[in-house]
Amino acid sequence: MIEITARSRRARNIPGRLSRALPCRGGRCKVALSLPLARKHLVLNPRLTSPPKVAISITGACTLSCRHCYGDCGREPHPSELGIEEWRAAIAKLAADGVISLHIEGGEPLLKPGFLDLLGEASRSMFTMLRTHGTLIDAAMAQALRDRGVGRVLVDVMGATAGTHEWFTGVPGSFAASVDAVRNLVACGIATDVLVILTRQNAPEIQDILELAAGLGAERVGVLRLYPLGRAKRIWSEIALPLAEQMRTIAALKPPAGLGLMQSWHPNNHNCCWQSAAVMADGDIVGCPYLREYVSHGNLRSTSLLEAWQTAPVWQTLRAGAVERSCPDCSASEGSHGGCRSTAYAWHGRWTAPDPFDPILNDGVDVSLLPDRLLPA
Amino acid sequence: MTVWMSAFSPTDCFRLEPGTRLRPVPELGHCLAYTPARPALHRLNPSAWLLAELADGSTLSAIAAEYGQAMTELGGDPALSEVEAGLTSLIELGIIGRVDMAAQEGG
Repeated sequence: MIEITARSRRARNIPGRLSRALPCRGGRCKVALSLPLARKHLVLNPRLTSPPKVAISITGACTLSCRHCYGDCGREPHPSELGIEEWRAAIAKLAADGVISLHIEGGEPLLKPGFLDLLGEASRSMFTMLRTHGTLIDAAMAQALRDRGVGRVLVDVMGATAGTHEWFTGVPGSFAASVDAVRNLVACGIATDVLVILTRQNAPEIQDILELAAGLGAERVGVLRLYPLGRAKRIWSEIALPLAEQMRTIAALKPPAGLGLMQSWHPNNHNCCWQSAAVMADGDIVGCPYLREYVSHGNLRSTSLLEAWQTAPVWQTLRAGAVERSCPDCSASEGSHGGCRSTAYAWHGRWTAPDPFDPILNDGVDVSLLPDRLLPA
Repeated sequence: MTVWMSAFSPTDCFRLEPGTRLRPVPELGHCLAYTPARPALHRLNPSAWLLAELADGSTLSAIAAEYGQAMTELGGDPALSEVEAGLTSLIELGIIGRVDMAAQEGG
């Protein structure tokens, strides 16, 4: 148990780890919301004894038919999925093991029977984030999410127009429904972000997505890289951009005043494996959702996430941050090394390989083409 | 000369707001604080972390003394104004609150 439950009555009883961590010799006493200095000068990735943050894919069921879907989701949940009671027990265990932030995605999480009650339970002890396509979030659902204590909602869009968005989702009306969801969530006072996966089709519309999100009252837009997972592999050459075009798209963005822009291209390409912990809908522990096709560190039905964290060899290797080469700019800005392990492994087949999505580490790899071994049969 | 105008009385008491959860991350030298009443996750630097730990119903005087002792052991020289500023920040974020002694005594 990591949490401090007994309050110290005298300074000499302050837990040793806190006393050791106190840097403020004459320093100012204030709440810091930025990265601590310690993370700016790391040589190796930080090593956590247990994960504070976990992502779960609670179901593979979805009402959309996205041609790029990483989870190859369908209308019905897969029979191997954890049931809601299994999730309830697992989430209680996560909280007891020190997890304080829970990111919930799918499929579409709102399709999981019993989801709202589970969200309410989780939100009592953990900051909860919900990633959704939003088409099920009308005004009443937004209010229900707020009442359950959700911390932040992230709504996926795939374009700034219905034509582009629905080319991906395959469902007429889904664009308007996702836009309405952002509007409803903001109206309820829920912190809301818009997410978009950068593709050939929507690259010309990313600035318009920023404008749209700002107009709707979203706090941030996250522009995400495209990963060679699930159905995205089948149409990779049709939707993937060369790295130079990705970089040009990101560099040209001008976020409207008040809107945050999140992006992880150079010089913000990070290797977040050191803190990543994720569980898929069937209970598979994968470290990161983007590693779902490459690793399994165990299954929640037979082990706890904390036990897997402490014992799974590949997970320990990934978290250590041992890489062949690192981009100095990204290391300085992110405090981690080598860039994303998922794309590094996808293209090179080595956990220690450089990330080809970083121009400093690219080595001439054309990321708009999949390596042969990832091509669908 | 700057005069510190205290917002608190030495006998004011402070404690974590109901439901607030602290999750130390000593490997990174900070503590995460979750405030379910106003859903947010905050990263506390060690000074703020220490104040949150000391806010167990103690008075400002006791917190300042314990904080000062800890800082002194580490070679620092904290002013009362820094303690009060830190407590004010923690209150604004909904992590701690002032104990309503009248309500407690009443019942």
